[in-house]
Amino acid sequence: MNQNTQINNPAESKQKENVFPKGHNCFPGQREDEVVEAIFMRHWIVLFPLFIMSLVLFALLIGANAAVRYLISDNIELFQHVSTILNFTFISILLHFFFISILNYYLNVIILTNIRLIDVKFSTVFKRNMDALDLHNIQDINIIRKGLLRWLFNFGRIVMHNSAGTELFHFRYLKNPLKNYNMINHVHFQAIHARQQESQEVNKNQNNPQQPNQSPQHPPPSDQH
Amino acid sequence: MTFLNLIFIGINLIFLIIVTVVTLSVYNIAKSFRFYAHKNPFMPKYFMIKRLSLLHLITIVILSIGFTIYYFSL
Repeated sequence: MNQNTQINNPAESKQKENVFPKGHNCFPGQREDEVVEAIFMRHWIVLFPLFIMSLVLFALLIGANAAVRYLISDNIELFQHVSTILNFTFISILLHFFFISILNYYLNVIILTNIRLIDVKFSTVFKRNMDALDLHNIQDINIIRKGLLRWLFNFGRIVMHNSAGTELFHFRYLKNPLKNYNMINHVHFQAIHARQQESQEVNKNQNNPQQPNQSPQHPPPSDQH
Repeated sequence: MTFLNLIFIGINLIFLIIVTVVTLSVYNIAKSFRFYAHKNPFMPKYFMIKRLSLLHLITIVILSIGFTIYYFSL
């Protein structure tokens, strides 16, 4: 028994680590009966142009420094001071841009709860936009994965439509699109099923309003006086 | 040279203020969106935004100190 518990403990602890925080304050605006089912984020490929651009800009900076040093031979002291300031400013801006882009990448997520889908967008660290979509409004979910890169790196698009065919949500560069598609479908089905059951219960209660109060242990009072 | 020194110190201060504000803002976000500061499968431990913003702060501070030492040693 002890051995079993010792074997099970690491797995249990690992499982506990991978559970989303519970409670009503997981994200701003969370309802009391709302539970976070999953969180989706974009693929790291969206950061690839940023890496390339940073490298190119850094190479340009080194090239420009070398060229200016070669061209300017007199008043070298002033040049060194000015070039240090310019280099510092350029590298700092580049680093800020780089880190803020990575932070934005991690901050832009899609939260799937048992009630709705929430698209959290941070265009900068200080600007936040949250779009919510009720799961009952979704009629059709499409997964689009065209191109070699999308198949190789396993990312794609998920598009959601309402019953009128209007596009409600469009998630681009989504990581593991098939897995996320299945997850959304599963939670969507559960949400619809739960609402159908609720509406059936409400209908039953409306048709027989006295039924819930009646119990076999307490029969209705007789008219005998 | 005094004018250049002032410009250099001014730029240094502006960048340090910006990076501090960004770090505080990210910490505030992690407070309200609890899953950012929580171990979960979608975000690896070492890429949590709190650590990233701290890395941002440390990088800029080290860069600033390094350039200041170099600048005043010229």
